[in-house]
Amino acid sequence: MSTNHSPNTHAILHSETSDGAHDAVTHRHHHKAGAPKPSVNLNVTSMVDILFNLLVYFIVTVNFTADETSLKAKLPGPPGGTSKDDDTPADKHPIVVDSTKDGYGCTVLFKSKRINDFNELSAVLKANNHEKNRAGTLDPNSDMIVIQPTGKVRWQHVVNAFNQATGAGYRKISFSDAN
Amino acid sequence: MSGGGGGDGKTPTLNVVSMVDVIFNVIVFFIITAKAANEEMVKLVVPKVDSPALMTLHKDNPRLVVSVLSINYDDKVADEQMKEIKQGHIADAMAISSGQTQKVRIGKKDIRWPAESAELIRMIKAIRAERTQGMSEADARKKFEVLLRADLALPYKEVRPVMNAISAAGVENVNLMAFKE
Repeated sequence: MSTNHSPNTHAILHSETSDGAHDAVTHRHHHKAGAPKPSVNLNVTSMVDILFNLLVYFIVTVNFTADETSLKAKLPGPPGGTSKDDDTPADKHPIVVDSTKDGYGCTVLFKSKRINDFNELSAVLKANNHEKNRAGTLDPNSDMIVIQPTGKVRWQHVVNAFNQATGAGYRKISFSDAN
Repeated sequence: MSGGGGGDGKTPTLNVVSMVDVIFNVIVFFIITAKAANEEMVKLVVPKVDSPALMTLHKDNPRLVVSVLSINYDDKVADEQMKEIKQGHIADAMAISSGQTQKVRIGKKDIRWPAESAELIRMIKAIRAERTQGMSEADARKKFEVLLRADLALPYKEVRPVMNAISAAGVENVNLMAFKE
């Protein structure tokens, strides 16, 4: 490896030294006797091909789940177990979520009032807090609400109801057991 | 430099060494970020909610991803569901999924469903202990969080046992995962 000097590699090496010209002369002298000089070119074309492919692969896959977000929940303790949140006074009225006949949709009841869509639920919850004469402010440490879905309700609707409760300012939200 | 005066019959070469350097760095970057984000994130279509109230996750809290997958789940089904959701057809997206739990993925391990709830609790506890090593119990209680992801079509009764197991394992912070918009 070290014996195979080529003009190309020297040019690169010597460009970094101040007396490059001088060295180049001496090396040229060394090689004078030799016949054809073999050039050491590393062929990187195929490597670049592979690297580009890898690059594209990782760029494409990196955003796999990036558009998911999290909604913070406070789950109740295990059935029969003791949770230190048990003494938190929950709103007496749960958000009742039931499935529709086709099994895909859902109906939402709060204080036995039918809620038409989830954006309305958030408004109803906020209005409910106004009614309590608290100017709609919630204490994130003590106010708690229960979501009561039936067993058949799709997860989509449960999370949607939960999200609206979060949006209305609740930070302690519990889920009742499936029935 | 020995001026490369024109026309000495050499083949022109493109010096790609520095480009290769740059590409290597970019690849390493993507490999690392891809791993960090997706290690436990199996492909799954989570619920899409109306006007989501977002939470930001604390970057360095120890956490565990729990995914609940339905029976016919694979990448193809997930892609089809995604397509329906993007067009706003939530019921159609649900219809594609079987609506029954097949397996629960806790961290990087799959558990067949139905599983013993004791087994679920044991696994979550073990991972919690492992990831909160060196923390005080109070600190671990406050910081350790579970990200719960479930197929949007699963009925509540299928997800509920997993929720029970998570809280029975002593986890207080649970985040439900949903799409951003």
